[in-house]
Amino acid sequence: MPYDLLLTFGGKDSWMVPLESLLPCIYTNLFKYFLHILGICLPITEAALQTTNAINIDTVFISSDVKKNFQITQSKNKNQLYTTQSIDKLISKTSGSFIRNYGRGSLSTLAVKGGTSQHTSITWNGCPIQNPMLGLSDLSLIPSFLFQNVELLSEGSSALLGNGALAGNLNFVNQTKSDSSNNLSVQLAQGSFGYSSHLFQNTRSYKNHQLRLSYSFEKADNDFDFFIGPDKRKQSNAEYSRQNAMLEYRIDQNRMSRTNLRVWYSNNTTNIPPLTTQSENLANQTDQSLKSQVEHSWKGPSTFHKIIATSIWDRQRYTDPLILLKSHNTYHSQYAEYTNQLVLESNLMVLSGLDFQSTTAQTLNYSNKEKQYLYSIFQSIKKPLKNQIIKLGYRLSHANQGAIRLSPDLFYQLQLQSNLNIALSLSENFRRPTLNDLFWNPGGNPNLKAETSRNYDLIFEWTPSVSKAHSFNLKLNPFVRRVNNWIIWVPQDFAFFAPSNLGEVRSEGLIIQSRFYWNFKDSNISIGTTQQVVKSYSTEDVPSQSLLRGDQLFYTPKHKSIIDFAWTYKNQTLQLHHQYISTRKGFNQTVEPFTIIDLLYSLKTKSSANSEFEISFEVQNICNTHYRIIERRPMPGRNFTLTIQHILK
Amino acid sequence: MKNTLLVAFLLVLSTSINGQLSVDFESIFIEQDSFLNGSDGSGGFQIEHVFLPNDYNTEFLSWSGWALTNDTDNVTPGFLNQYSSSSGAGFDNSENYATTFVLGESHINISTGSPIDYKVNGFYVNNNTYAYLSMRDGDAFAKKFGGETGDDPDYFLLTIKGFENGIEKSDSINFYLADFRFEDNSQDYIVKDWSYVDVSSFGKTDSLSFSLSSTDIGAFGMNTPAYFCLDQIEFDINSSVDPSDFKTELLVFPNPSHGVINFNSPNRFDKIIITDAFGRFKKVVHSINNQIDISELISGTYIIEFWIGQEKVVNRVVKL
Repeated sequence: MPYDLLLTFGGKDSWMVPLESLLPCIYTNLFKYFLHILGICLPITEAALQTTNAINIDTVFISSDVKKNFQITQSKNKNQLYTTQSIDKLISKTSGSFIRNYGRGSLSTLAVKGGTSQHTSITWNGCPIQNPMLGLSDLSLIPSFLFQNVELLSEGSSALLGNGALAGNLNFVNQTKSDSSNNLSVQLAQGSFGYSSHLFQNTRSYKNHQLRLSYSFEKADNDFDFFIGPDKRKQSNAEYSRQNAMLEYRIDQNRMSRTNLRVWYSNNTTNIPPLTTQSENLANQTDQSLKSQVEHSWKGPSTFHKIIATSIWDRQRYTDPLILLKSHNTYHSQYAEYTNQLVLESNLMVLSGLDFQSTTAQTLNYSNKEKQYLYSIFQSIKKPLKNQIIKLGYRLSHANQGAIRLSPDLFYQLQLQSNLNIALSLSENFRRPTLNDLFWNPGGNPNLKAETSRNYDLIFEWTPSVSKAHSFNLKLNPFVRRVNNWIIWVPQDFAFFAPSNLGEVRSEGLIIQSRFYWNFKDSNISIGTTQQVVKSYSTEDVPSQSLLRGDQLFYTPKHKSIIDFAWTYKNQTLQLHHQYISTRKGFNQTVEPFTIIDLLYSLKTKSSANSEFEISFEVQNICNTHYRIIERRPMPGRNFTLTIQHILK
Repeated sequence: MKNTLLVAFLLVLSTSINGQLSVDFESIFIEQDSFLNGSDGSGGFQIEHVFLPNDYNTEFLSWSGWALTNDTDNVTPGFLNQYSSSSGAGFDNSENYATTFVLGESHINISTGSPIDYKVNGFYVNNNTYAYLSMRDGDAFAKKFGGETGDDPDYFLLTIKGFENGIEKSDSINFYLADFRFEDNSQDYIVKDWSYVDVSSFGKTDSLSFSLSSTDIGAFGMNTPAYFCLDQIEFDINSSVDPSDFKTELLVFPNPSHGVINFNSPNRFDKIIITDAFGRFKKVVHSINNQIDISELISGTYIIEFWIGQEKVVNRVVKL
């Protein structure tokens, strides 16, 4: 079955800081670690890959359902990625993004277009799911298998997205088919370093009911070899396991009304391997969460309504037997949203809605059980004209900490020629301080201001007519983002760090994407390239971080380059993915640039009309490059994965 | 006769305070495997002729400066074990010793308000267990010394400065708590046992400052845990000044104080200097009617030095 990663346009260890209690004077080092985790800023790029039973990257705009109509669709590039991949691996191959990966199976966070990991909101069917204590989500814990779409919006559509989406939004989408299909999918994979995964999905439909059960289990010893100079060493204490189960139920009350119920349980155990500058590490972390969601939508003659409510219980337990440390963090979150879309005469569309979010979090480092609320109303209008599209929107938000905030956005697209479009996107947004920013003891600063941002994106897209069989697409996206009141943890007079607001951080860059298609009788070839240059810097010195005005922010590569090639012949597909990441400034040392090439071959067979087999073999890091994404965290060399999938319809 | 008795008394007094002394911390009661980190708000520890300042933050339960300890755990790594020496005991297997978390600089003050010359000859230092094991094995924040290959020329340096009447001595003394700069890696070392540091070259001193530096520096400063341990301070006492010449018997009140403090003295002081508990200069004040206004200072412990010529009397006050 196809999965789509909708790459959108147009438009924050999880790891809780392990702190027990009365630890005078060591807060300094703890917060160094905290800041390492947050990553002070990252950059961007694009890729686009492809293949078989997997995830399509459509260079499309926007999200699902109601809001979908309010983001303009660009061209479509049918590229596919492998379904067994975790979200972080998937996203690392897309444009505009940079994944800060602390090693295979370890913490992975997403940064978009030079922003920090906290500048991209993470949502599940539009409902925020990032950890409110750190403002981050560990993408290594989320398997792409559970979702039908994964959408990355790298343009600020602030009226629709709201708090936290300064640089973009990553949305995991569940969709059930409207037909009464039944479907059973089983996928088994084995790979290097003791990797294995088992994925199971069963969809059953009866009349107006549909039930889908998805289960995934993934584990690895992760004991890969790496090199320090000429010395070969083996990664230790790096085992991990991921267990996810999701139940989806849909009932169509009538042709005009539908209700979805979803329950998602996740249980993950991760051992923390030692740094290359550390002899031993015995730490481990358990992340558990239970998320439930109810969605009801109904249609009127010219209206569409949706109510969605999500409840999240999430717990992290960190244990380090070596230093006798245990940490336990829990939060509960509730989110509810009502949206209404109205289509008026002359294709004028009006989207209106309101939402509410409540979060309660508890850790030993908070004096109390801390609560946070956020209420918003939003509205957006869209008017398609002959060769133009205009979209205007705003969002008013009020939190229990802070004043009422206005987040406006404007999108304008002009079709210059039949094959040439130009689009402009302007938006303002904000990000509330995280609960740790406000309440962490010591250092938490209840008087912190929210970060505010202004995003300017220009998009040129040229799709010349070559022939029916061949096509070409070129897209340029210069962009500027200014983030004011940047929240940064700096050393205080005493023995700890505390957050404060810095002046301004700017991200300026250009993303160039191109793709060629050649379609032949039994085969087609696709070649895509992405070049991304980003300068991301502070407009004032940050002496506490040895960061001078104009210096590239930490872990933010200036350049990312992706080239992907896919050749499909009948039922076979060959993919090649090349990725270059330039030098990054680390907290202790410079992290060297690296180039990685992955190769994937897959073969599909049909034993009957209702039975389909697919076997695929992937070689990752085919050149056995020794590289690191984050300093002192080695990545694996050449490794293999063999996957077999059977689908019964 | 009366004058003869007075001279004899002063002679006896003078004799009694000349000579060599050593200060250890054995007279302080500390529960077994425990510590005193200033949580009582005392602002430091007065042990015989030595004052070790401490700054304790009651809001965040954190401290810097000095703590007194008899912690014996020299096995457990990490910041939860921040009070013990790498040998698991004080100098010569004594029970009590001092450890410091160096925030910029740590100080010890030798003068006690009497016009007596002190010459610190030396003391014993050792690594703190947290720092020792961090340098040996690395941790989540700091590298193991020698780095990934074992060849990095790392060091952890203790720098000591001497002061007399607030004036820094021209020379400083360095002591390497760890040194990995040798061509032959087998010579690399991390101090694990108490080592004597000779500071007699400073001559007459009334305070010492200690700072730490390391080759392991990151974007947020030094990664190596900024701790070391101290014990057995040895010094000469020489009464070069006739105590009877110093006529100031100062009583400072109220103490603690919210703002204005009074002192009783018939003398006119040349200068009155206020420093914080760490010896950091705060202000020079001019007294009117034997009063000093400290209302502008933030709450904490302060040292007030009353100077006449080259002599001073020191008082400690607490600003509420």
